[in-house]
Amino acid sequence: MAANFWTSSHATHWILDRRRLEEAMKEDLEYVDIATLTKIKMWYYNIIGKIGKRLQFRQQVVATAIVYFKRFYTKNSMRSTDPSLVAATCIYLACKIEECPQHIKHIITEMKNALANHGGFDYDTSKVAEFEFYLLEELEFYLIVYHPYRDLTIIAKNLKLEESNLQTACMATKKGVHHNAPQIEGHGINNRNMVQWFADLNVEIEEIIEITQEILSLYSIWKDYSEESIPAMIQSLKRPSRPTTPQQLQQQLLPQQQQQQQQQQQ
Amino acid sequence: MSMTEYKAKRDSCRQKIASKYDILGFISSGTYGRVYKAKSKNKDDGKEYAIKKFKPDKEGEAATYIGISQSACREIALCRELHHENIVGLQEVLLEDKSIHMVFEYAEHDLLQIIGFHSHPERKFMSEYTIKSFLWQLLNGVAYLHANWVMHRDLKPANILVTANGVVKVGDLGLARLFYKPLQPLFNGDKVVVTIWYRAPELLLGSRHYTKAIDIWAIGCIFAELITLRPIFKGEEAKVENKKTVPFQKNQLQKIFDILGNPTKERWPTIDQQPEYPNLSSFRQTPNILRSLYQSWPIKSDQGCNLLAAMLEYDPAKRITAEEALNHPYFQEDPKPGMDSFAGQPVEFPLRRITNEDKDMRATAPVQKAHPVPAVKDDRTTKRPRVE
Repeated sequence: MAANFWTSSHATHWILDRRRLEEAMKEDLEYVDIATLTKIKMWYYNIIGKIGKRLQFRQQVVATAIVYFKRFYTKNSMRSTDPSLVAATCIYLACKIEECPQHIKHIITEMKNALANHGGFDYDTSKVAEFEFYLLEELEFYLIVYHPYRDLTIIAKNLKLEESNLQTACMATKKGVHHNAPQIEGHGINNRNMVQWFADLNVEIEEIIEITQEILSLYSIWKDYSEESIPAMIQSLKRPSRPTTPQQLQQQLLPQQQQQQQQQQQ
Repeated sequence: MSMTEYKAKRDSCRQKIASKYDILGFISSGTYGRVYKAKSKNKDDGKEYAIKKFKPDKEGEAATYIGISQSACREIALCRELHHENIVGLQEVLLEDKSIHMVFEYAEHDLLQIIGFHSHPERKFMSEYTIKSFLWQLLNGVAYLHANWVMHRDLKPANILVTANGVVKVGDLGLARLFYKPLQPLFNGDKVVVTIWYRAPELLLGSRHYTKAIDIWAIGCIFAELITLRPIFKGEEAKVENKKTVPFQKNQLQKIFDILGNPTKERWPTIDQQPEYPNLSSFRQTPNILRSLYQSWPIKSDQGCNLLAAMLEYDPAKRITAEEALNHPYFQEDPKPGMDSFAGQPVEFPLRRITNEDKDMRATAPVQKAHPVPAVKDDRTTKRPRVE
């Protein structure tokens, strides 16, 4: 575990394949497109970050809370759950696991402030505490999360990178999907002969390319991200389901018609 | 929007404990909650388990539920990652009745119970083989914890479990935590760690930044206790008067000094940096009598004494590590330690007593008969101090 990432539950249970991630988004994608869904998620990550700042958490606590949030949504749709309750509970649990427990009331107060102009936060202590059970279950009780910050610092030192490169890499890991430290490093390093360095890493170049592409597409979504547009996006994600095809509509109406016919016959 | 639908969906697919386990009886209770003995209903498994049911963490007069306790959080998080022969294995975690239930592999004995059995009705010492096997396996488990940056922080006989096959299982990780680059000083999290008799001198002197060496001190105390069947430093705990200040444990330090002599700057160069250092001038001067005391004990090995002294080293920086202790010459000489601590022993230990009195999780199967044990009232179990 702590001494070895590869034997940790993070490595053995929580590196998910693309198919599973796509499966988790299926329901949401019937209502919004992938760019919109990504932006909505970013918005919630930002909420978690804001609350972390307000309560003066270390970055690691915020990162753990965000990973919990992401893991929850690899099994559930955003549509059928309330991400604000999930986010608040993730923060509460992450504080305990990272050994800087916060009173549940502080988190709820900050959540209310952060969502004051975005539909509010209608949950009290007992609701958040109750939801902690569900969250634990979804996380399969695997609570220790690895973050690449330590590795980033070490590698930056090895490569004599500047602070700004490191910042970029940190941002990329925060917003990114994968948590596989060395592979993300490649980003932000230019003008250097990296061939030997990558060879020493002992990771597949295909994987690095895939992750680089992932990060690039994330950046392109991020480019036109604006906070003001998020509420409307959430609304369209949460809009009531309605039959999408004429056939489905027909099926829904069928029982009514039959009833009417029966009534007419009587 | 409401999460009713989501919850209903989750609630409906949750398996009932009673559908997976037969509750055989109630084992014990503590501040954390209660422990039950259970047996898997699965015919292919059929193994016995200990189910630890946590009390919900409540607060205030209205007793509002405020989520799972820090202690349960730690134990779940760590046990879920740790896999080692000498660390108690976590089978699964179940939710029911608004409580966390941790299902552990079952261990028939613990060192407190074994020491008690050897002390009553009259004292009969344990064989050196058994002691050495307990000690080696305990060190083996703790070396694994330390290699994974986990400090146990509550090692004491009651928390060292032993299976019916004589295999040591370090248990109760409710105070354990990761110590790799902590976000804040360890002291800020928990003001008091380790049960008083097993508490290392640096903790008693108010150290803010203690290390994994505190676990080794506790193991040294347990080693001595396995030999003599009495706690080596049996001090009186000064009561905590308010939650903000930690009282100075003068009596406990005196018990340590009575055997190891007063700590000096020579033996412990950084002792003057300890917050309670000024208090040390009030102690009488005593010599180190550990070696002569050891001579009066039933184990005659000099290497055993060397190992004990190395674990009870004042300076945490000089104290032997678990890894070094495993390679100590004491374990090279006969009798060599084994994975079955009871091998070749004529003693038959009583089984863990379980009762049917508990009203909470009623036994679903008849309580099995334990070996007949004389009903000795063991003051050690009732008066032994606990870390809250």
